Amino acid sequence: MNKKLEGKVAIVSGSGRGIGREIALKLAADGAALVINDLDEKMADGVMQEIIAAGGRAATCCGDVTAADFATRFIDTALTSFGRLDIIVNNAGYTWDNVIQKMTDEQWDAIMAVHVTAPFRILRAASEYFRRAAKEEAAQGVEVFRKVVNISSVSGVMGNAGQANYSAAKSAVNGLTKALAKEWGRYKVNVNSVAFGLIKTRLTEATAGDDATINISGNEIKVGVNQQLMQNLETLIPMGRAGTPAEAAGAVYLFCIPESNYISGQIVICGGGRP
Amino acid sequence: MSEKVYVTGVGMVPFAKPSTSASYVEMGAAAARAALADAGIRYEAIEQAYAGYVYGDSTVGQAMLYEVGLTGLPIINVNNNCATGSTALFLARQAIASGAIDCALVIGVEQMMPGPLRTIYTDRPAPLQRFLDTMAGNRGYDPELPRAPQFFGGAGQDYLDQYGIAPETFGRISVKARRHAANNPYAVFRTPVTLEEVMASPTVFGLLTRLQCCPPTCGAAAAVLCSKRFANWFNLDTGVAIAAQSMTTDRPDSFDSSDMRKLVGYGMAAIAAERAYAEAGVGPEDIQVVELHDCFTANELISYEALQLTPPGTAEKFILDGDNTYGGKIVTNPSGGLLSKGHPLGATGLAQCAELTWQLRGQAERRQVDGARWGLQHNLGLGGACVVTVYEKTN
Repeated sequence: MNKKLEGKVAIVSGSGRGIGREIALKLAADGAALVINDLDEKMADGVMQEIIAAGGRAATCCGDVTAADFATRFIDTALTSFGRLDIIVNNAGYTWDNVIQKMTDEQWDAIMAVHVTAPFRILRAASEYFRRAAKEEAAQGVEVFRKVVNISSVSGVMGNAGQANYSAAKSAVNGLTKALAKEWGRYKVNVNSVAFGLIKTRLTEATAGDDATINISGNEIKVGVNQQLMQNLETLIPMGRAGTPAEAAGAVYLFCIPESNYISGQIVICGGGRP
Repeated sequence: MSEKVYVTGVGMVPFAKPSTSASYVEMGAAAARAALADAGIRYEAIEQAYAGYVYGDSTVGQAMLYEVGLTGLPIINVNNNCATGSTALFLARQAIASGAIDCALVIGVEQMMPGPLRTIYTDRPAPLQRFLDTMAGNRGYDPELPRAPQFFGGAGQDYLDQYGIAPETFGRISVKARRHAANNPYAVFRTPVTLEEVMASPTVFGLLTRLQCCPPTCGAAAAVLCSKRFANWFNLDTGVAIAAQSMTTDRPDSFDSSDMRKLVGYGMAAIAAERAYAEAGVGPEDIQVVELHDCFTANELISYEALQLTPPGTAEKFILDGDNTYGGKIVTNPSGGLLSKGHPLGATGLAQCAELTWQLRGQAERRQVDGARWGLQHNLGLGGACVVTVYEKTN
């Protein structure tokens, strides 16, 4: 069977676990070579090894996506490992919730940095290669479509109480999607956002009030959702339950395959029918 | 063979005396990383790897390269005596030229023991038996003495007997080798020596004194070869190409003749050189820089003629006129050669490749040969195999 992404090279930020990992594995299973990124080197290594063990090709580029030099490192890893770059998935991120009166500048800045500034820098770093490749391909008379998928959230589309920072950031990344769809159409780059609804990951599965935290640059950030609220939320979803990371990855995959070559600048909600 | 093959990255570790070096695993991994960094690609980009070594148990290539990555690529271990490194190069080039792959890492390594080469497997016929028998029927063979100096010393003696040259002519090659090596940070012996010192050093065999024999050495060197297509994808340097390459083994005249030169590879080298020049479309007069297999001074001298750098019988004049060094016709072994840089058997072919690549790129610093456009590599193994390669500066 012909794999749809054979010969393509994809980079997925935050792909050491959760939804990012599922996205990476999905793209790799369809033939793409992958650059895996995570803050946690061990997790990234694990995904790389899983892909290689399955006969695929993968490399890692570990570290904080908000670091100043990260974007060029990320792009260079793809180009020096696999010689090209076709798919960028801006997935890395986390939430750091609070009602606005209690939200600190640090909380606001951190969330904007990871969800907006980091994707911006990664795409800016990719632009030189994208333009060069498009130019060469145009000279050869071939059209090669490249794909950007920015991960957004229903919070960014609808807003969510307690997530002023996250809602604003995810809304901003949708703006980035729409602007770049216009800038990069001429280079045959499809730029779309996938906005997730309720997906079960370590960020949402833990119970609020428990000790579940994630460590971001030395900050212990509480994660988890009130279980009562979780159940209420699930009853509001037409499909009756939260989505799985694999289902979330499926939505991203749609915008990475040739069938979506004429779709760009769109925000698609992956939310089980809600909203 | 249609695809042109480029040397897009080279790297090596400084050569060292036995027991002062790191293990073959560390040396090999370091050389591989250096070549990858020089090329500007990561190990993940490599499609196949060819690993040359002579002394070691099986799968040395994997042991070294698993330190660099576990990408599951094919790794082929290569063993062809002192021509091991260039045999690995030959296979990699063939794989790329045929279009089977676009990029290969070639690595050579050797962790040698002190003292002369010796037989490891004594319970079976020696692969060199045919050579030993031929030598025994010619000048005689003393099993108590190291073998290699008897082979090459005998070949030198046959040359001396035929043309009546001075024994010091051989010694001058060591003086030149040290002078060149003084500028090579990768070389083992970098202190210049005088002709008197060379001639006064203890006799190893026949006309060969100790300073006319290459030392046992530990080291590793590596190269990244690729197609034009691959270089375009990765935006890599294509300034140095392999213009031609020929590999030969022995023919009947190696064993029939009473001429020891034939027994140590003169014929293999002559035919390989002739074919390489023809394939490249250049002649010896077009070459500016040569890395040739000077395991002993005698072999450098006879190789001048096998490679057509000077007509038969004129090697002494070639040396006395300084035509084998800077300011002369052609610079032979700017790296210091096997005599001074050292001869880690499996690594030598790759170290020669690295030196010629640096020379053609203009990166050889104080060893730089002016106007280097064409480079010639000659790597020889008793037993036997010879690889002659022509490198071309493409820009």
